[in-house]
Amino acid sequence: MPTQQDGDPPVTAPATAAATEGTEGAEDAEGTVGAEGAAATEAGGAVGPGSWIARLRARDEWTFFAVLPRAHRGLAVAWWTLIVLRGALPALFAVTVGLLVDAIDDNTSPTGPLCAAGVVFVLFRLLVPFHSLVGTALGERLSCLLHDLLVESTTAPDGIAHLESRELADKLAGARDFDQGTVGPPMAISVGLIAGGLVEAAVGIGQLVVLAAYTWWAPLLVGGAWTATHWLLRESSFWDRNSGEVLEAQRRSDYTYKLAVEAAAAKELRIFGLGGWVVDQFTANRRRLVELRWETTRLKQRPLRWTILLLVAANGLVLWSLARDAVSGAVGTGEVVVFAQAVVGASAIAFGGLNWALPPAAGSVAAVLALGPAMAETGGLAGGDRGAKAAPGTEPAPRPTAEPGPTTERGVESAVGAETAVGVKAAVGAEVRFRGVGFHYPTDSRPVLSGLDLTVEAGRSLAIVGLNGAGKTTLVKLLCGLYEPTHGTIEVDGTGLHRLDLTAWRRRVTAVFQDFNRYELPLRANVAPLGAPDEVVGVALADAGAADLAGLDTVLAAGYEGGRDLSGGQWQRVAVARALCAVRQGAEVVVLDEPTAQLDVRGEAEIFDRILKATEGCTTVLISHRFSTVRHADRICVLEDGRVAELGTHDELMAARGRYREMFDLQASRFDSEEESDGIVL
Amino acid sequence: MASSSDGLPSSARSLVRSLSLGYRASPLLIVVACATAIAAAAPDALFAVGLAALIHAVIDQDGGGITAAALFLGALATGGWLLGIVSDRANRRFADRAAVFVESHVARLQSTVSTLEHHERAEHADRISVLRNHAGALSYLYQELFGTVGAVIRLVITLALLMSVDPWYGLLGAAAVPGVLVSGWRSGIDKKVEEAGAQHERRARHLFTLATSAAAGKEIRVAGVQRWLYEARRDAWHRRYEPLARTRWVSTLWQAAAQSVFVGSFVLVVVLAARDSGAGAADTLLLLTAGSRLAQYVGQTVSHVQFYRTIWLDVSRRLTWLEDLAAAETVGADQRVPARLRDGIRLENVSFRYPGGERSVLEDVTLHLPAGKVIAVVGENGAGKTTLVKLLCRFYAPTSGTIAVDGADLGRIAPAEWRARISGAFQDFFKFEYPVQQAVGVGDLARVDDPAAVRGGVARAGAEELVAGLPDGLTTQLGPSWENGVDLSHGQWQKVALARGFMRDDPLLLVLDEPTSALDAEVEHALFERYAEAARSAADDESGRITVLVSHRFSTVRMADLIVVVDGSRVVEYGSHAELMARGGQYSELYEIQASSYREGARAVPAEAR
Repeated sequence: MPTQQDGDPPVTAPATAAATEGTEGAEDAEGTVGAEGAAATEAGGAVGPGSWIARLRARDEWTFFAVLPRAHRGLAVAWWTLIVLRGALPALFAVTVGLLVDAIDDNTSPTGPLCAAGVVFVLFRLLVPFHSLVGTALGERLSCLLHDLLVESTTAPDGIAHLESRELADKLAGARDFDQGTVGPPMAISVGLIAGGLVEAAVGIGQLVVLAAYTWWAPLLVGGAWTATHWLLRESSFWDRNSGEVLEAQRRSDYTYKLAVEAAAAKELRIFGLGGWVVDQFTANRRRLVELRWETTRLKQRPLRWTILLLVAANGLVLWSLARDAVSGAVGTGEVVVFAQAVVGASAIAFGGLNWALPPAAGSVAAVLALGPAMAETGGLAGGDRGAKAAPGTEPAPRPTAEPGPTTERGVESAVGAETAVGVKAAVGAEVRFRGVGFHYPTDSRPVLSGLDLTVEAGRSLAIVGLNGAGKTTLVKLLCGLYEPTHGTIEVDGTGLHRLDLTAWRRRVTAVFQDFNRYELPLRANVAPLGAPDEVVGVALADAGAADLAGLDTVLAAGYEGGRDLSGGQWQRVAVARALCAVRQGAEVVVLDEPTAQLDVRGEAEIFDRILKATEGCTTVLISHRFSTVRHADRICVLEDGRVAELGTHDELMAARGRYREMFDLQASRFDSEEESDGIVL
Repeated sequence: MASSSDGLPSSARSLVRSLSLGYRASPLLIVVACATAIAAAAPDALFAVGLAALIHAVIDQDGGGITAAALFLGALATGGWLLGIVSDRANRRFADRAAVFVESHVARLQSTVSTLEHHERAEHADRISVLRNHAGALSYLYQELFGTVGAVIRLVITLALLMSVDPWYGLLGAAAVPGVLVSGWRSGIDKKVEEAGAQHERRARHLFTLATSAAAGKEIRVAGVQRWLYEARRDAWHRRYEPLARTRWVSTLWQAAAQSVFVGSFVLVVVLAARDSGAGAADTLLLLTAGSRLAQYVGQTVSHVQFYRTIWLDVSRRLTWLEDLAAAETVGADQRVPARLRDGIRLENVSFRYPGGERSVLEDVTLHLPAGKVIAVVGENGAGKTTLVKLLCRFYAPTSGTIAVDGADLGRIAPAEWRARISGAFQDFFKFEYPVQQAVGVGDLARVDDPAAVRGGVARAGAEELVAGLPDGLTTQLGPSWENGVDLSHGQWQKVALARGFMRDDPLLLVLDEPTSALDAEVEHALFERYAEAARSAADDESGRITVLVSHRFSTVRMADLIVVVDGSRVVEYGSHAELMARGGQYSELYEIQASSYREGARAVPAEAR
């Protein structure tokens, strides 16, 4: 849960909601298990009373209705109230009409029943637009809640393995359907449709109640027949969207649609003329998706024939009996009218709109709720006492880092925790030591790092060079605690990283990744997402050489009011400013992964001095291909085949005449020519 | 492009177009869906007739009549349900088909519009984001349309029934008019508010995408901004939602008011009829039953009107606008791409300002890019290098001035034709998550499945080792989120992009916009040595290919035949490396900065660089 990652969150409303969600998510998971268990028991012959409830609770529909009040309590109450009211009114109307007919028939004053009918009717009509309003609003709120839950599910785990897992990506795409509307309508529309279906059902039930006044067996017969339609046609309403084929088609159509319409691929799409090629793939997958649904939910002839037979028989019998009683005078004129209306009106409970609207919406909600635990499991990190985080729903209280522990290691940990709790020490930086670290990604068994031993000295800078794919970025990911080493340990000031409070550790680290985030938000938020005084932001920008890039309130994306997009190099300066701002706010370990790849000559040359000055006293890890920048670092490490091949200062490595020297000379030689008489001394 | 930037096209033309779209999607299904929808409308409306017949028979004590009427009602119930189900199916089936068709159509249009304007311009981006959200909804349109036909049929039948009792009851129909009018008026206002909130919705989506993507996930965790991101998304969502919710409340109150006009007149009529007592029980019943149904049908029609006024009309107009935008580009394309370049590309007084932008990105640029040469473009960030490349690729047309390819005006060459003869690799390349064969092969679509051609591109990009190291070679799926998909490092992805750019054999123009920024030293070195060789030999061959290279690496730049220095939206220097170094201008200064950083003892940058 994200709330646990926040060291000191004020217990805000969403935070509480998140905690509640965790609990319910866990319950849901248990519910599912319980239902399966119950089914197994049933097969064995013993059916306990609890199994029925467990099975109901495990249903997607149950989950859907249970989540509505969380979307917005007031709206959910109004929504249900209106359903009940709108369901009851037609039955009342039928009764008042019966009274009215009797009054006219008996030549008594019709004023009473007339007024009653009028009131019921006016209410009935006027409730409709309000119900539709409430339904749309509730749908929007629900959609917002589901988005929130998804954001929490994806951002909560400490690691990022869950974001790189294919299986979970499938599930995420499926769960997002409430928003995309590829399978069912979008949620704002769905909730209205479901309300319509429920009103229908309520109307039908109301009519059956009225019919009970005629004779006890009539509602049973008619109601039974209409209810049976659900059972007979059940196969036509169920569609398993979680089958591999469906998910595959859905993901492929999502991917190709985005590829076709979003800006990211726009240039290459046009240069290479790929529009048609991509759209054809989209069409094929999208079509496969609807065909799959059509195939599984088409109306089967046999059940349909049975259904019609049953309906004709039940309706015919009741109406025939009613006619006979009317002829014999056993039932009065008004009553005949009321009962006949009730018989016909009972059809509202039949298989219909609700069977279409509810399953996709309910499936979406259930999928979203199930995603949290699944992602926590994949993305969570196993190490040390952080295992406690796997248990969802604990209080979002600040983690007591100085809590006394039984083991000696905990003593060390609490000392570290106490340091961070105080905030910035006179930044000395931390010493980070890799001990025999080996690593491979969960999806790929090829090792990226193996037997890596490396110490990043406290308060000094270390540059890492190596060929593409040598494991440089992976090393950084491990350092930031995004993955855990498969072998060996990473130690921070002598304590295993896996024993540290990850949130506290990350507060001490700041990083500029190669693919840093570009927030479509004002410049201020891009530099200091969590807030900082304007002076600090200003200084950080100035340190990154981006002092007069744009106003602090300028949104950094075209397509927003007063917004403007930045060039690649300008963005890179913003990213650097973000890291420098974090340093000013107390970060002491700085990770720079190719921070100048997109900068121009002047910028590249100057920014390193700026960065090194601004991060003085911090432990700095720099990854770069440019040896001109690398040489500024205190020490340089050449990474090859997942281990350290060379380590030393620039001068030492140059003197050693190894790989580093080879690569440096290669780059330098490009500048070395007869035009420069001063020459480059190699 | 002036016409596209202005208002949306007229409603009538748009509606006709979107309707014909449905017919094209599936001619047979649209007919079946329509027919069943109409057939399903009748039983419901005839219910009042059955009820009236029943009461007549009861009052007359006509036994056969009672039974007949009762069975008629039973048949209506069953038949109505059955027809409803069938019609629903047919409509859904058709809607599915139409959805696929419409979405494909929209995606095709967007991906074939030759400029990038619709991606980079706020107003257009908003316009398209609405279209995108509702592309699926457009397919429900036909269902709604037939629904309306059904509702109108019911309305007519019911009105006829009422008028059979007393012709004056027909006036009830008129009382429904305010509801329809209000609905049309208010939904227009709702739509405007929705559109005003489009940018907030876009931001909410953007933040959501960030939160759920693996790439952004790294920084989100290290920076600890999980909660902040959550709140920022919610905030954007609320900014869109709150005004919309308020407007919807007002609209609903208006609708309720308009509905009361109808309901009020209906109750009045019933009261009058009952007091009149000239009407018998049967007629009063008919009036009540039919009237209440009438109210229901009026309600349906109102909601349909709302749908047309909002989604249908709006989406149709956007769609027509997009269709026009895509079609406008081939208009006036009367010049051909030369088979080979002899002279080269000439820019004459070219200026460019992004649509809706304030300042010129390029100003009065006159430049000759000679055939067969490698031309490097250098300059500081934001100087206009990338814009120059975009103009050459015809992603935009110059605001003023002309670009000529061997004398043919680029603005009068069909974009697709020009693009077939250019190729390129960009700094912000796209990660095509396909098997390597396709991820590279799409660089020359005609040979996308030709392994030999792909190996050629891979070799030219120096990516053989990369491919050889993959578990399944060329058939390896890229992108970890696909089955057996392999993730690449940023630099490796860039090599794939480069290989893609090198797929075509005989482009007239090859654009390399910082294609190696993430590559390591040895690879870059080997690559450019090989490339320089290839480019020289290309100069000898028939095509006269021009290579435009944007780079910050002067070690690479100096290899170019010609170097263009762009500064402050103007070309300030132009010449060979030797010429520019001798001149001692901006180029030589920048070159020195970079070269000196490799010199022994160079610890700090020269003072003038600060």
